[in-house]
Amino acid sequence: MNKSTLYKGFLEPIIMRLLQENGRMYGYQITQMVKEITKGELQITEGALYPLLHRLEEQGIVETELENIGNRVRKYYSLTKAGKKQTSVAMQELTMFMQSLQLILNPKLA
Amino acid sequence: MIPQEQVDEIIAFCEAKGVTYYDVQVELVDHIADCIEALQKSNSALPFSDALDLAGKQFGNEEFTAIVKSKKRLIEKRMSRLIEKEFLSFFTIPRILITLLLLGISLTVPYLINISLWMILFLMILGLIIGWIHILPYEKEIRAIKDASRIPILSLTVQSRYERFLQVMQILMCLPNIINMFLEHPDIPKSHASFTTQKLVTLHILCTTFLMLGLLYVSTLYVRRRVYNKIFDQYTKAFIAD
Repeated sequence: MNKSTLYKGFLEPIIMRLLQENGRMYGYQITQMVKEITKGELQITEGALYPLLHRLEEQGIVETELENIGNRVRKYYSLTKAGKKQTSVAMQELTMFMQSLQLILNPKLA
Repeated sequence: MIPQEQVDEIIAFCEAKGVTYYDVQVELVDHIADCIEALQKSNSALPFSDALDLAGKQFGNEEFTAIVKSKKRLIEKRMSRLIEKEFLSFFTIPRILITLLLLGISLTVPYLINISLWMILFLMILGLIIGWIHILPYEKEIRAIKDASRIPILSLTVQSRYERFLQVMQILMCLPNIINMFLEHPDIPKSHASFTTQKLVTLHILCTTFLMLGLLYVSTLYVRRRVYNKIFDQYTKAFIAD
């Protein structure tokens, strides 16, 4: 199975978690940090990242601020109050999901 | 940090891909610029045009379209929500009470005092002139912001669409009143000083229409001013000439 297909469903909690840990981040920074943490295993495409960030903004999970960086403008994303709560819930759900997955894949270890 | 000429080339690249609105292209420009800087950091001999080509290829046409589509949807929703919020915030209790008071006065005065239709029309025109004098600076402020934008901004386009919608609403709200003015109204026993029933109905319709239009115009102006200023604060770079 294609690795990126496996990761696709986890993109939203991954981004929320990164924002929770780093406070505020911009698009390119998110793609690079994911690449760095996963040692290149997961590479978020721009076409997947930005529509997701826009959807999270629409839902009020993230908020944005524009900042002048020299001769261009940078858009930073950060979690809203509601987004922080939702991230904690998403992390709990993800942990439970991974435990269930562990039970299926390796019952002896679980 | 890449120089301004190269940032302009990235903007031209985005425009060639169909991303003409400033508020849509702003984060794409930064992303591509970041990508180019990283590529040139790892290979200092890489020319800018090749780096731009490589960075652009990372997106691909379909990805570009998906980003632009989601961004446009977001801006349209955000703007609709903002306009709605600002429009509702205009109708405070004191403003509603003042409007009702003015309506009450305009409808009862002809019953109470002997006043001619010309005098009422004169008072209406006087009210219009005084109102216009007060409103003019705000209209100028909005026009100045609109004229200062050097790149198309999607948020402004959405705002203009709402303005047109409200203008149509104003006309539609007036139509029944205007039609009613030309209808025959049976006489009722006179309880007022100097008007026939037909004239009185006409007068009532004129006063109500005048107040409704005035209220809608002022509320629209209030929303336009607030929204334009917010857009200006958020996308300052799109308004300031080089």
